[in-house]
Amino acid sequence: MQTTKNQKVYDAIIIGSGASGGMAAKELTERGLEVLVLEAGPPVNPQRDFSSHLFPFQDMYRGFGPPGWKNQEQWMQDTAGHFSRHFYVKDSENPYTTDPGKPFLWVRARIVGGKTLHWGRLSWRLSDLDFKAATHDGFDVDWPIDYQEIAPWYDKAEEWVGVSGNRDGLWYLPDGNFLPPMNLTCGEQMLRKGAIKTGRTGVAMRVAMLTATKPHHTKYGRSKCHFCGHCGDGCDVGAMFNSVASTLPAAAATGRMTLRPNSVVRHIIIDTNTGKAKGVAAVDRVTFQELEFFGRTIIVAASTLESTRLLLNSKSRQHPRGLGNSSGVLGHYLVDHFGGIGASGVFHTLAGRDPVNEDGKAAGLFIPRFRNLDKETRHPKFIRGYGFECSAGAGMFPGAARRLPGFGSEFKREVRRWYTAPVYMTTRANMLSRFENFVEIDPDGVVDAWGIPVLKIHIQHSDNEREMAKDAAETSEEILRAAGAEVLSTGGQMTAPGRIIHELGTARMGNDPKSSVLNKWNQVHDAKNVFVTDGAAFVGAANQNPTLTILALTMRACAYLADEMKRGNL
Amino acid sequence: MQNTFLSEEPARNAPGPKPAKKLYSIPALLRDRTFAGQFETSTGSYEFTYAPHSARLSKGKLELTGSLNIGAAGGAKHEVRNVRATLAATQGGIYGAPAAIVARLRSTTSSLPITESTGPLGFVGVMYFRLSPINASAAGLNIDLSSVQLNARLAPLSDTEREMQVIFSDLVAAAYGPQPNLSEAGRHLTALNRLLGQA
Repeated sequence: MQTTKNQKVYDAIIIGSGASGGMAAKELTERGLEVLVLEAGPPVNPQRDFSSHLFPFQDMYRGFGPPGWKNQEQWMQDTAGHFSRHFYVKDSENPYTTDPGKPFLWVRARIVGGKTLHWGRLSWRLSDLDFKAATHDGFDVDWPIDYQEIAPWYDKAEEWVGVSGNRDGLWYLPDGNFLPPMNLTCGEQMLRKGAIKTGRTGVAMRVAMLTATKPHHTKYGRSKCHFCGHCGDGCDVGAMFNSVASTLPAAAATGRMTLRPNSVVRHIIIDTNTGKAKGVAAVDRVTFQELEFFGRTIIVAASTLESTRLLLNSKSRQHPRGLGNSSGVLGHYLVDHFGGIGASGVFHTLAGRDPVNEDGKAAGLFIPRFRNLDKETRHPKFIRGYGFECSAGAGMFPGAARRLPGFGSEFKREVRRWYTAPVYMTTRANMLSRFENFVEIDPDGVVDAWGIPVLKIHIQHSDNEREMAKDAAETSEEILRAAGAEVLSTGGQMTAPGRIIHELGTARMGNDPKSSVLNKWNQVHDAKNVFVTDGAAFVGAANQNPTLTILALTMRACAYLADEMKRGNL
Repeated sequence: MQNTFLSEEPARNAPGPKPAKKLYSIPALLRDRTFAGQFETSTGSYEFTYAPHSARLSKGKLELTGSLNIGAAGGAKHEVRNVRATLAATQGGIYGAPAAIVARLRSTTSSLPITESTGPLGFVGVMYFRLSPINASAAGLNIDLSSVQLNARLAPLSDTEREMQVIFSDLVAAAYGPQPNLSEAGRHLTALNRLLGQA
């Protein structure tokens, strides 16, 4: 089969259409650049492909799918449900390898919109406690940017996305310009009191879900959230931020975006005269047609590990260890937050209460980090910190039913009685960035369904994480008891790396090309016309959800790219 | 090219990869002592089974030998004998650990929390085998089968499959770890050959 070469030279080729790729498409097209967006997966139509309002009784398997479906094709796609399975990759076609006894759970989306179709939506800013963490505790290095530098980009990202929340006045969790918050449920308010009683605090989760609309939201058909709680199945009213409802339509409206789905990128093509990128080589996901596209700049936004895999697979005479790897740092410092540790219980005073619409909101209470903020909160056994994601609402599926004995009408009565009473706390904790946690191209030659070499992932927790987990287990129980809940379970096992779907790092930014892959503008030190704008750029994980920071960094990088292009520097 | 982020076909039914020239990988599930699966090419859908009858360690790597039966879905099968499958690498499992491995939690002594499915609780979820070159015409196919990778998923449903998964996991831990222990691996290899011999 001959390679199809598209002779057109785009101003930018964007690899990926998720949070970062979609935002890059919007930002660059609005600045007058002509872009090509390449997405590895199929296209999507929200009105038909999202199952936002599908009830379990409408499905033969009540939403759980036929027995064993997940084990056969999508065993690592932890958050995929039977209604949302098409948002996720098939593991049977997309391998990766790990060392014995050190698994990694890699959740991936190959579809237009990427993981924004089902993401968790929590949108926190990082602070200088995070950007300057090394200055604070001496471990690893600081980011090459500080909070003041990125704050205006957080403002822009929040404004576009629409983030609901309160201005809580916490210096280590900076405020933004929020839409009205989602009110806490009764149980969450009780839990918040327990947190305050024990010297912590609790805030309403800041989520990228519209509680009010602005003209730039309604222009593309986005509506207010109505608390149906099915965000993971795709939000067909566009209340939850995703590329398909927001950034991609905005980019398309400029007339300067071309989007090609089903385009699996093999590697970046290097101009052998200059060492700079001149395009990408791809293969059609279905037909295996080999493709080439050309551009003046390349934005790599394929998601943290797919971006790094692509750079590692882009070997050339000028970049023999992979594009951007002259430092040998590419692939290293992989992190993910960890969870799995926490507590659960019930509030007896809430038993028998009738649910209200707000009980269905997919946002809860967050107990922000309270360890190692300053000298007074310093913990003797670990550095950095963690927060608790908590909920006490009533989703469609009555989770408490799993714990209750019995059957028949008596069982149903009991399920209804406890429907609004459960409370859950789980940890979101920082994992330290360490060189020895890394990815490489599998040295034993394992490939995916398109013959592209896959990643081997090497990662494990250290004692810093384990000490943090021990503290989190004890503290969650303390807070739950102080809130007046009956504690039903505590502790747990730390989640395997990857499960929180906050994999970050592996192409870190920094000022020194000898110890970093990107400069402070997300630009590859070794190839100035290549930018990596997703989570791969992170220096550290902090303990906040990363997508808002990815969006802000992408906007900032695109503004820089457009300016540099105007100046003729790319 | 046109903007096609809105699909004409339901994303749920998006077609899978259909190679025309070269088959890179085929996915399979362990069922009893056999790996069974299906794949598509540009010319049709095919089903296959790979039934290993013996195992050995070759240059430190697990090598199975067995028969590959392959044919159009629902149609006649072609048998290719003595196909070697060399285990290149594995993916650690997270869900559905065999009871024998879960039981190891009891002997784990740590005052600190542990990570799920890690260390002594680790087990193999997928094995990636490289098959020896297959003559395509003998397999009844018109596609390059010179370097096919068998993606063998272990998701046991029966006692035999659970036993196989434990043996594979222990063998991989011994032979593919940072410090290979070939005598330990040999012990698990004996157990594996015993099981394969019962087929």
